[in-house]
Amino acid sequence: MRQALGIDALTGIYARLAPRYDWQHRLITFAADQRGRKMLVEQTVREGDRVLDAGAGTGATGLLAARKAGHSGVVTLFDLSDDMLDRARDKAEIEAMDLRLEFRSGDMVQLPFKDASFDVVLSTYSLCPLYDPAKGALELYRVLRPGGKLGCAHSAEPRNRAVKWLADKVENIAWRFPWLSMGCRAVDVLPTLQKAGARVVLQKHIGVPLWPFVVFVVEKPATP
Amino acid sequence: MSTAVDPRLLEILVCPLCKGALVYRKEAGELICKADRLAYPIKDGIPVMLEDDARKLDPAEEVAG
Repeated sequence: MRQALGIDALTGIYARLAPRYDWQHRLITFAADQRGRKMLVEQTVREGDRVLDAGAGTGATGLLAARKAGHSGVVTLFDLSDDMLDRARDKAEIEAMDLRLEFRSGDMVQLPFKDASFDVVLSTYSLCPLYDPAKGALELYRVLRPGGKLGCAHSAEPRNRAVKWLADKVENIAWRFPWLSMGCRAVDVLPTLQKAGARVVLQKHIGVPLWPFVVFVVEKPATP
Repeated sequence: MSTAVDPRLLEILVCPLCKGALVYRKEAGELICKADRLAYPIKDGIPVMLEDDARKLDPAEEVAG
């Protein structure tokens, strides 16, 4: 796993990326990113839910979740970058979303929420740039209520060895241009969550062969 | 859409470092952690819960609540 970029570097990159993040991420992933977001929201969010979108960025997932949670639900959009959250806020205003949204800024590895605060926690493509993805995943799990669902989508290593070799070469080049790599690298957090007691309810591989994603949903057992 | 900081703010929000309760100072637009003596700013309605962006409380500064 590549060395993650520091918080200051990420803040700078995402401040510059904010205006073009949506289309750039969609282009790089051949629109597989949207499939992941829709799949997770579909599988996890119900009307009235209290939802956390961690690493919410420009709100691509959080706003989908807000529509599904409806007027009786509330969605907290959490991100390191104020600039990305500003885009999310603008989008919600443009779409005249009369739904309950909250915006909080901070570090996903040190979430500022009480234990068991949310019915649903979502992380779409936000564990990949974290300096400690396993610790970040455990934080997401901590703030999830027993019986609640955690849905994640993140970059993964290609399973085919030859493709993995090629992907590695491409990534080496991309890594020199942070605006292109967005600080993202393949991570693997599911074993950590399972060790903590999470029960896997969905696991899928999406994306293109050179740039695959894992999408999964885990449930926190109601009684430990 | 509601983006204002409302009284329910402190329902689930805690200090990211010690996970302890926060005191909301409405007039200063800050969230205070008494244990870590840090004041987290609220910028444009968004609480910024980062240690690096927090103001260290003056040793003489009292925090009510």
